[in-house]
Amino acid sequence: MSRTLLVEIGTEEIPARFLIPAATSFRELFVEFLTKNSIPYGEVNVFYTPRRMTIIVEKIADRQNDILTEVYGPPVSKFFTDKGELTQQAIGYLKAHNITVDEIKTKQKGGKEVVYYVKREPGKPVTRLVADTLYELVQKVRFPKTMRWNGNGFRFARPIRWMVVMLDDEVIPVEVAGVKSNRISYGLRFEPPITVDHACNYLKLMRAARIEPDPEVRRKKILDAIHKEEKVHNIVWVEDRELLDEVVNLVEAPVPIGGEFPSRYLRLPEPVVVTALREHQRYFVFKDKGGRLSTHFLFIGNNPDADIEQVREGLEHIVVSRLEDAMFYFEEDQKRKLRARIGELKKVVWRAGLGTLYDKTERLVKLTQHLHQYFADVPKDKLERTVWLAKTDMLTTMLRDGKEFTKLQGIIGKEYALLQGEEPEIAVDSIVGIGMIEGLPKGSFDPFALRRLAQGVVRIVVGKGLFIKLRPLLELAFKNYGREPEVERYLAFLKDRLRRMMEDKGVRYDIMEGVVSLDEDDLYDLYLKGMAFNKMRDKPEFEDLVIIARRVGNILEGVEADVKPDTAKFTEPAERAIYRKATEIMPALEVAKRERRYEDVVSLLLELGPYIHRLFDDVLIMAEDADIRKNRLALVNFIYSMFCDMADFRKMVLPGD
Amino acid sequence: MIPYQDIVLKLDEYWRDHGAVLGLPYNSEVGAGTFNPFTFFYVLDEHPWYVAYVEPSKRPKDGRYAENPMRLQQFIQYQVVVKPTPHDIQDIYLRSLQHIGIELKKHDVRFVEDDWESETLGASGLGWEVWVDGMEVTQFTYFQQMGGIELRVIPVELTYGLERLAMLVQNKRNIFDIIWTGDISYGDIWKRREYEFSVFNFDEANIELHFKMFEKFVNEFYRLLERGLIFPAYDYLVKASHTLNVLDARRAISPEERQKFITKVRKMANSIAKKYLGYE
Repeated sequence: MSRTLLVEIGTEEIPARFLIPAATSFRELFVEFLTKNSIPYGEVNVFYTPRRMTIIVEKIADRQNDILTEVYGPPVSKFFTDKGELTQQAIGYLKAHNITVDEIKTKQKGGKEVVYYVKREPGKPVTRLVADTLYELVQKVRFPKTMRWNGNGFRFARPIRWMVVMLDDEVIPVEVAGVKSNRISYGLRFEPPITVDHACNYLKLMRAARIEPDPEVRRKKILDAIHKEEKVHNIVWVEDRELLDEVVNLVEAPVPIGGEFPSRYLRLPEPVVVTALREHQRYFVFKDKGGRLSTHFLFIGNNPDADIEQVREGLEHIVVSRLEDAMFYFEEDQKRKLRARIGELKKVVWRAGLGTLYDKTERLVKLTQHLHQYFADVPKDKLERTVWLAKTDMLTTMLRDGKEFTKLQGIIGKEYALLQGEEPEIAVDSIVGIGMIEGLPKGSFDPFALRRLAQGVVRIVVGKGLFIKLRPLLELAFKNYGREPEVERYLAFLKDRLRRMMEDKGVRYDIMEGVVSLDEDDLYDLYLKGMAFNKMRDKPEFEDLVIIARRVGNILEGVEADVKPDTAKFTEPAERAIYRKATEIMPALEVAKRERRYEDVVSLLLELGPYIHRLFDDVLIMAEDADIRKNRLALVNFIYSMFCDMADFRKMVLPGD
Repeated sequence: MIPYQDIVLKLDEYWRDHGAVLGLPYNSEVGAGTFNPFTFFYVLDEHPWYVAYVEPSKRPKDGRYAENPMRLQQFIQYQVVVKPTPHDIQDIYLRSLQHIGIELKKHDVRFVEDDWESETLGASGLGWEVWVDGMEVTQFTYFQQMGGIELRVIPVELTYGLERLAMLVQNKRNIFDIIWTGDISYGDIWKRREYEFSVFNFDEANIELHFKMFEKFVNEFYRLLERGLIFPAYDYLVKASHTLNVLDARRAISPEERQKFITKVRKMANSIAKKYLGYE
């Protein structure tokens, strides 16, 4: 018979951002439970609000399918006598399992023919399986962060306070985290509890209590409210899916409430106003038709009985106080230009032993002078001025004390002085400085967030496409501190972050290793090489390339060889052919490498393929004649030099490896 | 209109009736009621504990020279700590708001995720800010750690912002307009102090002196701890922590350096918590 199963886990408010992943995993766990126990079912639906996660299984059988097991007996030879009669053992087996000889089948097992019968056990009732398994299922729901709240040590995102677990109209008794299942659910606060008479009435009952358990329905309601606000006030929503997702899961009975803030706050930089409204208050913001920020906002309340006017007043008041705060920072910051703050940097210790922010800025200026070669199009004085200002925004009140506004670091800088974001030299200086004093991070312990700084270097270099040689930059950074340079260890530290970034971009592990282990200190260059190889990794050409590069490389392992072969000493046509081909493509190859067109580099190198195979097939490189051998090794080395700055091909993996 | 001081009385009354010990504010500058030994020490062990008290809390950086309608360098908290936690603690809390005259049915009340952490105390917990019509009125936290120690019996800490509550109940838009009692306003009592402390925190505090004090407080803390004088030692931890906040408001330390100072205080909190529990 087909029934409806209802499981509602009632909780204190679960954070909005946890709900989607948690509900998804809850549903998956349920499907797995039903499948594993061969319980026939129609559909598994999941619903959720901040205070509940609900599974409804439709058309579920009331028992699991019968369980069939093969029960083995003795070998056929011991079952029947020569005359075909049952042995004593056989009689015992039949009796023990309460079966007749007609039910017996035979099968080859372990080289012998044995008897068996198929035992059919009726499936267990679903109520019992749910009762036995629910604890484990709830415990396995995944959250980014969990907590304890009582003595039994159960962990969940927030405390579990009630549970409705029912098959049709029958409560399945079960206990999780000290909470016993029941048919009582809870709706809006200060409203009477909801008695669930039958599992299939759950959604109806919730909606009658004005709770909307379906997030998609809530989303639609909220979007409708936003569009209505657009029409009524002739404004356009500043689309913000992230906030929408969050608000959908902050409420279970959405009630739109519009409001307005005084236009005098439009003097503030726009990102500051938007931050005040969205980050902390979760208000939706709008622009007018001219693209200017509108003073209207929309809040989604959670109490259909609220006095809307009173709530609106409160919402408007609170946003004024936040904007007032922003105004305080803003006006304070406008009193003195960033330039005028440079001197103040002398008063702020950056880190004990590493001087003040002013000392730091001085070092940064030196690093920038070195970096100027990479930014030839920017006037040197402008670059230096930018760096002189770079740390002054740390002194602005908006960033120092601004609570939620601190997220605007960099943006504030730009708004205030049209600065660029952090430049790599700032991070490099910090990594070297802190690393010298505290050591580079080991394992997961990284209290000074050096990895994040290093990641910043990689992100900027790759994001902005900067070809920067890091060895000289690191060396200079150490010199600025008056220390002996430890360039290689720090370079390796930075390269590790490049690995992470390439991994995130989906670059195959062996390709990444092959590229990153090159003795190269230009991270963007390594990145481009990795991306080029990765793009062609599934093509046959990639395999060819690795094979020929390895063939060349293997010969040279442990051998010293000149770079320049003597053409006069070639004895075989294959030697002359490959040399001719190599010198022919060399100019194009060099240009392609210089211009970092690595896909072109690869196709040029591939042209050498047939010549390389012919060389190794026709010619004995390790010739007996020492002179000829030396010349042939020089030839191979010459070819190898065309490959070896692209990757360490030994690290790359082929299907046959 | 319920005056400010009656709100406090009503909260005292409410929590007394629920079985709480009515405690006292601490006699040294603290950044939050959590620093009060009534919370810090009493949540560490496994004994049941129920306490409620007022705590003036000093956040030097938050001063606004008495010009901002909602920010202060000292605001007054009402702190409740209970362990083990009743299963209906959210409802008990909400009824306390009704008890002081907030008609919750008419307002938008919600629990918005806010995991609380005090880096200096090595304390952390999960919970929410409670909003009434978009205004945060209470921090609601299930402590998980204190003094860097994983707690076995989980306490709930409720921290009401008394000014926020009074503004809501009295429908005021400016803290200084809150009626303290009769014709005496919050501003009458606190405005001048707010202004002067803002000047002190931001402009006048002697940086050199505060650096020296910090160092001496730390040394005294360890000296006293060594002798097993836990509560006197704790006084110096609290003083060091406040001194650090003054230096921070005075912009005498960069964010990076601040982290180092905080780590220092956190280590102190951890060693005193262990000593209190007899682990060391």
